[in-house]
Amino acid sequence: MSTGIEVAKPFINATVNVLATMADIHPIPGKPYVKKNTVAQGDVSAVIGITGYKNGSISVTFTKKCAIALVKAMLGDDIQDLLQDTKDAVGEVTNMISGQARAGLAEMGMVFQGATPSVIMGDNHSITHVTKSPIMAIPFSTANGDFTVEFCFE
Amino acid sequence: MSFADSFRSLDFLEQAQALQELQAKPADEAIAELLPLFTTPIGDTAADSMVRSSLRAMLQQDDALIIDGLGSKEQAYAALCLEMAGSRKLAAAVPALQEKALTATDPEALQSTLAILGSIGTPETLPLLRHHAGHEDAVVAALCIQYLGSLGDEQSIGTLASIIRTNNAEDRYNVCEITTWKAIEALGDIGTKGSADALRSLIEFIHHNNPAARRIVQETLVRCGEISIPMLAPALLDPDIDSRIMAANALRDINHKAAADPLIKALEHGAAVDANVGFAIYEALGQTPGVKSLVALTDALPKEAEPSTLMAVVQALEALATPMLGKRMGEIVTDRMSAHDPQAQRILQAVIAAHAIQLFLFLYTDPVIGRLLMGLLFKCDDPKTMAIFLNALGNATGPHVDADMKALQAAVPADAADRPKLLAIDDSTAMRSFYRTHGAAIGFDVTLAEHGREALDIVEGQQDAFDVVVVDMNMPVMDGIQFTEKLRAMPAYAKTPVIMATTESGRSQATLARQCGVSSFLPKPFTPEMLQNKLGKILERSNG
Repeated sequence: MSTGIEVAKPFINATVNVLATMADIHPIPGKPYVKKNTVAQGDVSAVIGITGYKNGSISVTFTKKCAIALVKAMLGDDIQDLLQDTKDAVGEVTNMISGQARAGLAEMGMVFQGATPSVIMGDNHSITHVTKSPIMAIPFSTANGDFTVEFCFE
Repeated sequence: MSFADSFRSLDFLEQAQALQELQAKPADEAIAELLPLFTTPIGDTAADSMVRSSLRAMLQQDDALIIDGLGSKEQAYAALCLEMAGSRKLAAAVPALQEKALTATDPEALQSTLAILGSIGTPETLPLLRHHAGHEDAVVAALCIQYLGSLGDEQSIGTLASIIRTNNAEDRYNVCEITTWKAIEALGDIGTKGSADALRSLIEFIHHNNPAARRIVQETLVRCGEISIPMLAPALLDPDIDSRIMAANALRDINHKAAADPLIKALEHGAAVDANVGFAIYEALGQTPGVKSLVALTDALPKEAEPSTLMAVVQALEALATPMLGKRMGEIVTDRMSAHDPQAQRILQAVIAAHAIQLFLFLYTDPVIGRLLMGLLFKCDDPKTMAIFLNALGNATGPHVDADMKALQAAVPADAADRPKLLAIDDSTAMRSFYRTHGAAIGFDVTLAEHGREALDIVEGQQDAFDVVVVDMNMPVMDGIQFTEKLRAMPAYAKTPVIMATTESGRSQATLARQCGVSSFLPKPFTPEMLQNKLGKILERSNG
């Protein structure tokens, strides 16, 4: 049976919404495509495993520039430890995206549970999605660099 | 005072009781009273959730109420009715939902309505889904395509094929679009429901220009299983060599005895004239259980002279090894020896190169063949191969076992530390054996990986960088192009020679490979000499 594309849209909306609310960043979604490998297209990623209506995972990968813009927007000048704060901010934002998208999906009768995100950093780090199905990637561009949201549902 | 107004001033227990009393009323009246509380929530999570549950319970009493609610101006209420129409799979709601989809002004509303229509899954929805399969919003289009597949819509086969074809064009194949992905899967779904046309259409794209799309086609055909076998048969004789190889690989992965017939027929029709196709077919036969495969493979032993093809035959036979087969193979080798045919030597060489331990142990018991095998082992110059056969000899029987083990132990070359390091990546077991044997023969310390991801893990965990990398193009998990791209991003590998060994003959694929940093190509098939020449030259260049 096909991967559930019906769950994608709420995640896209939640992403735009959360970043606008939390960081005044207004991302513009690009054309989605199928990504086959597990290597991230950026410098810092958060991944969340999701179970319920379907099993899968979503990840958000930021370029360095975009991640820093996010941290600055969220913490202002109160950055203590850039590395730790970036991890924290990216994890938190992803968690909110997951939460908001799941709430939207639940209203459509698709109930999901989300785990806590894990954050990975580094050049060419890899993202392990839960299932072996094709991974759908949506590139977003912002005034402060790009980021990518990926889904993989069985 | 209205029910809603008085409800807001009650405490929690009273609210619960009020809701219970309300449920005694006819559902439509009760809903009308409750609606203001739902559209303007109280703000207390527990109470609001109680209101929502009561509303659901009331709606459940009468499907007509749900259908009626779909058109409500109150968005939250319309959304709840939409959700319930979906979860209850209300076929009666389809006309109202279609109306809603037709009047939807933004992709958001359209997509949620289409999702519900798709999950209800009645054939009336098909025209609407067909209409939106070309929607400018890729997610909406992909959603419709997905449901056209799950509804088994044969009428859409042409449209689906043309979506995949558009993405295959010279200026479009760089990125696998999500509509292509869904269209491939949808053709598979329609095929699974019994449409041979859908599968035939899918097989047309077995060698799609985009590697991700190619992989999805392959996986979809394998998922369809046995039913795709007869459709794959003609592809084994397609004029395009790459399509033939992909078809053989699909048959290999389907792993069903019905695949033996088309594979053998393809051999009879000369498909193996091209060594790569032969290789793929023999490899597929090794994964196809049954007597027919066994006979075809044994017949190939005295005939196939090309080393990599022969290795695929031996590897396949090793997977099916029995004492009977061992005996038969001994007879074939003896027969070739008495005819002074160098094929006897080639077969034994392939047994060593393929690490075919089972076959080795059967053949070793023959007094003449056993000596020949040992002679080849002493000459192979690869510590890993020697170690493996040394270990295997522990289970051998015969008068020479002890002496052979001692001699082999003494012959194992010293430490591999100062040898140049070769990383070879290929998803075919036989090809990996080929690299191991012939890389070691010219002095490389060879490391093998099954796909790009495994190779990247090895590279990351390795202290000393590899001197040369040989990589296949089409592989599961991560293909050669993506691997090279990632490898090139590592400072230590910015200049390392990366050779792409490929059966791909198209120019488009070569361009893709060059763009991602491949240094040179080694077109498959190649003889051990060609591989060794290529590696030797690279080594000289880096030493000089």
